Amino acid sequence: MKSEPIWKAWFAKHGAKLLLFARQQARNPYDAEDLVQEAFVRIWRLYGHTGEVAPGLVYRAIRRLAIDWARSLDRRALREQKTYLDAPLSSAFQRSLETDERQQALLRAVDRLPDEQKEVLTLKIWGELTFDEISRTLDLSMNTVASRYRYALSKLKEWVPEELESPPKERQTK
Amino acid sequence: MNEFEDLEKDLRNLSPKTPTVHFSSRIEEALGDSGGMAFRRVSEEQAPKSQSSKLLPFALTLGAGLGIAAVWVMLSSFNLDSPAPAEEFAEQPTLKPIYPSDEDQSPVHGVTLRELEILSGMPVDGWMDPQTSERFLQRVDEGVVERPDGVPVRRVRYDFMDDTLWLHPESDLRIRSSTPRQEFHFIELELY
Repeated sequence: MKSEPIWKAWFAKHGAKLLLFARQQARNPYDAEDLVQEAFVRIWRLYGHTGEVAPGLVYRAIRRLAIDWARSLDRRALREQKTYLDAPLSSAFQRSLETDERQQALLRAVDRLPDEQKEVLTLKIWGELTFDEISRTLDLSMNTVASRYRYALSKLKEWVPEELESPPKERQTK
Repeated sequence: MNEFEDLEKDLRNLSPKTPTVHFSSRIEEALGDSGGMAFRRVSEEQAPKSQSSKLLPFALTLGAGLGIAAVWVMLSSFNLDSPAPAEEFAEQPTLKPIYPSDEDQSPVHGVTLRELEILSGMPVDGWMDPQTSERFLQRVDEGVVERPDGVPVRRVRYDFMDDTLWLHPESDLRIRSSTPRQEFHFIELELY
């Protein structure tokens, strides 16, 4: 009879979403992995025995750890890692030959969103959290969360046709 | 109808990159013993073929055993010299019923779902997803302490209570678990 630790199935389901959120909280992809590892291990040690852990707990732990870590980093380290800040969120998505033009335009539009709207959009769309869970994760009111989400969608609706019409920036620079 | 419905659908079609195998190994290593606290078994639905192939030898063995037993009973009934054959059979231990498919889904090794339900006095199926909440209890300023690198910091303790609630709508059964948690925040102090 085959058995496997529950955390593996849990992580297979939520790992990619957690990493995506952590990418927005961290300064580089390596820090993002460290954040997810630290947060997930902490929460799993507390609640893993139940066999099921609410993803909202891990998102919240990632957020709080990111704040703590940001405080502990000195300014020099911040300067050195500045280059990573320019890495767009779209680079954290799977790209394949099948990724059509509209999806690429959508990703470029997502990159243009302000960070606070991207954060809410990530938790709502890919993290599949409710507004209530997002408000607790980000320590914001539910109204703020809902309006940021709505603003983000309005902008995307406006920007995607623009992105489809105009060529991507990379091509322009060439 | 939601004006952003199509847009939300398009966004959901975008998949974040999956964690690398190396990263998953790192998590496994960091979890240590905690990773082995809860296991799941591969259910019958996930491996229907392997289950039937596993049951086949069992069924054959059981059939052969019953056949031999039947022949032995017949031969024994003809042997008049044999003393009290019925008593010999009475001493044979009774076989416990086996529910292989039921046991497969049980979270506790060696205990079937039916047994688990009887022993715990609670239904096994029909539970809703657990609801979790966090209650902030208090914030305690523990004063200035010195970090190992000699930098003075203010240590602030936050006390929380994490609640988990399991609901079984059919029987209106509720299980609440409350776990206290402490978080320490270190606030760096400006040096003049």
